[in-house]
Amino acid sequence: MGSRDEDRFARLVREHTPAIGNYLRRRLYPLTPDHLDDLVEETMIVVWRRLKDVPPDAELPWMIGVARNVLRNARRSKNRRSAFEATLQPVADDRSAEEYVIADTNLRDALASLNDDDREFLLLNAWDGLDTHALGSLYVISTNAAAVRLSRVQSRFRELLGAADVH
Amino acid sequence: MSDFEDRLAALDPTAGQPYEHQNLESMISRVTRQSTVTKSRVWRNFQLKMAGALGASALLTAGALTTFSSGPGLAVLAISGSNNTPAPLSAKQTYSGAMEIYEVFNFSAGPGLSTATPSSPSYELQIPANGSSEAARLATIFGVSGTPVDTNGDGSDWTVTDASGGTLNYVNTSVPEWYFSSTSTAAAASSDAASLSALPSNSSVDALAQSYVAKLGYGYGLSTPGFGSSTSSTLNTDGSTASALSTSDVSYSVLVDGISTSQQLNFSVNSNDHVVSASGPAFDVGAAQNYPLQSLQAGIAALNAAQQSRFPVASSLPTTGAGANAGASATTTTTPSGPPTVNVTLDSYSLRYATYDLTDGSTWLLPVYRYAGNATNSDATTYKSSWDELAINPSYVSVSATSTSGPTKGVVNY
Repeated sequence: MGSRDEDRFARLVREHTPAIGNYLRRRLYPLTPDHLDDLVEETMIVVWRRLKDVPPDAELPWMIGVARNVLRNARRSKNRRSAFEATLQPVADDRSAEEYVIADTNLRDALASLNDDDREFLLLNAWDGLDTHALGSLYVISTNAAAVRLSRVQSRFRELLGAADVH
Repeated sequence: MSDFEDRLAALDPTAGQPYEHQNLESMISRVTRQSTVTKSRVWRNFQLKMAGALGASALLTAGALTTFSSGPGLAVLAISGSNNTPAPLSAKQTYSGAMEIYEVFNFSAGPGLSTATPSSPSYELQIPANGSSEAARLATIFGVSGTPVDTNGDGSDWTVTDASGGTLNYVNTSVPEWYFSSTSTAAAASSDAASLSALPSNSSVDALAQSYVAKLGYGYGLSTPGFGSSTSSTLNTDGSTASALSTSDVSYSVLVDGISTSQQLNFSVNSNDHVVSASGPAFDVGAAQNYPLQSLQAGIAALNAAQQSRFPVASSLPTTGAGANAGASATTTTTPSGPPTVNVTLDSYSLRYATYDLTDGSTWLLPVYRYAGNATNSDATTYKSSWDELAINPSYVSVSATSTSGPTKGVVNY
C-alpha cells in the first residue's frame, strides 16, 4: 500500500478511534484498558487490510460493522472465561462495584424489554450517534427504512418507559 | 432533546469518560507495517490470555450444541444462539446491549404463582416467498404506483416509489417488515397548535388502520390500540420552521392466538384523514406445534441457573491445621466478595411469543414465560419488574453457539 493509503488510514484511525473504542466499551464489560486497546487495534487491522472497501460517505458505520464482528468473537471468549472463572478467584478489575450500578431502574427495565435488535438499533443512534443514513449503511437498508424503523423503536421505547415509570 | 433521550444519554457507560487509546500513533505504525495475516498478533495474544486463564480444563462453552431426544413427532428446535431474545435459560434482565449491572438475582416463587404447567402451541412463521411480489402487492394496497426496485441488489430490500411522493419499502429480515410513507401534497397538512384539534379522532384512526390491515391479509391479530399524536417539523438554516406535519398515531401489538408477540403495527394519519406513514410485520403462521412446556417452577430454576456465570465470585479459602497433634482445626476464610444479591419474589406470570431463528433458516414464534414480581435490593429498596424465560421444555431445545444462516447485516465479515 502506498503513502496515500497510509495517510488515509491514519486519518481514519485518528478520527474514528474514540467512537470505535466507545462502541466496544459500551457493549463488552468489564474490560481493562489494555484489552480494550487490543480490540480497537484488531478492528483497525481489518480496516487497514480492507482500506479500499471503506466507503467514503459511510466510514464510521462501516468500521462499526467491523467492530461488531470483533465484539462477537470477544464475547465468545469472555463467556468461556466467565463460566470457568466462576469457580476461581475474581479477576482484578479497574472499576469498583459502585460504578456498575445504574440508578435509573425504570430506564434499564424499558431497555431490557426491547428485543436485542431493536435495543441495538436504538443505542446505535442514542449512544453511538449514528443517524438514519449511517444506520442504513450499517444495516444495508435504505435510509427511509432506517428512519421508519428508528421511529418505530423510539415509539416502542417511549411506551415501555412510560409503563415502567408508572410503577 | 426529549426526556427519554436525556435519560438514555445519562445511562451511557462512557459518559464523562470518552475512550482514548493509550498510544494511538504507535498503533498506526504497527498496523501499517503488518503484512497480510489471517489472524493478527494482537488477537492471538488476546485469545491466549483467555485460554491461559482457562488452563488445561475443558472449555465451558456457552450454548454448546447438544442433542436431546425428542418426543414422538416433534423435532428438536435447533435455535441459533446468535440473535434471539430472550436466549434460552437466561434472565431477560441480563442483556448484552449495555454494561451489565453488578448484581445477581435470586429468584423464588411467591405464593400467588400458579403451580399448574401452562400450555401454548409454537408456530413456524410463514414468510412471503417472493420479496418483489410482496412489495408490489403492498404498494398497490397503499396506492403507490411503480415497480419494485432491489435496493441493495441482494433481494433483501425492495422499494416502490412514485412521482406523487409515496414510498413502500419491504425488508427481508428474519421477520420481514414493511414501511409506507407519503410526502405527497395531498397528504400534507399545515400544522400549528390550532390544527391539532382538526386531527382525526381515535376511533377514526383505528377504523382506517383496521381497513388497511384487512387488505394486507396477514394472519395475525391485533391488541387494543394505543393512541397518540405527534408533530414533526423541518427547520430552515435560521431555525425557523420550514414545514410541519401533525398526525394522529395508533399502534398495536401483534397477537397470535390472542397472545402478544414482540411485533408492532403502526399508522399515522393527518388532518386530511390521509395515512402519511405506516409499518408492520409481514408474516402468517403455520400449523400449531404443541411442544410441551416446562413448569413455571422449572422456569424459575432456569433463571437462577443463568445467574451463576454472570460474574466471577471469590471462593472461601479454608485452611486446616496439619498433623496428629493439631487439635482443633484452624480455618481461615476470606470474606466472600462479589456482586450484591437482589432477591426477587415472582408472584405472577403471563405468556408471550418471542421470535427465534433456527439453524435451518426458519423463524418460529415460541412461548415465553414473562414472570413479574418484586425485587429487593441489598439496601432493602424495592421495585417491580419482569423477567423472561423460554417456556419450551429444554428436552426439545438445542442452542448452537453460532448462526449458520450466512452473513449478518450490520457486521463486516473478514
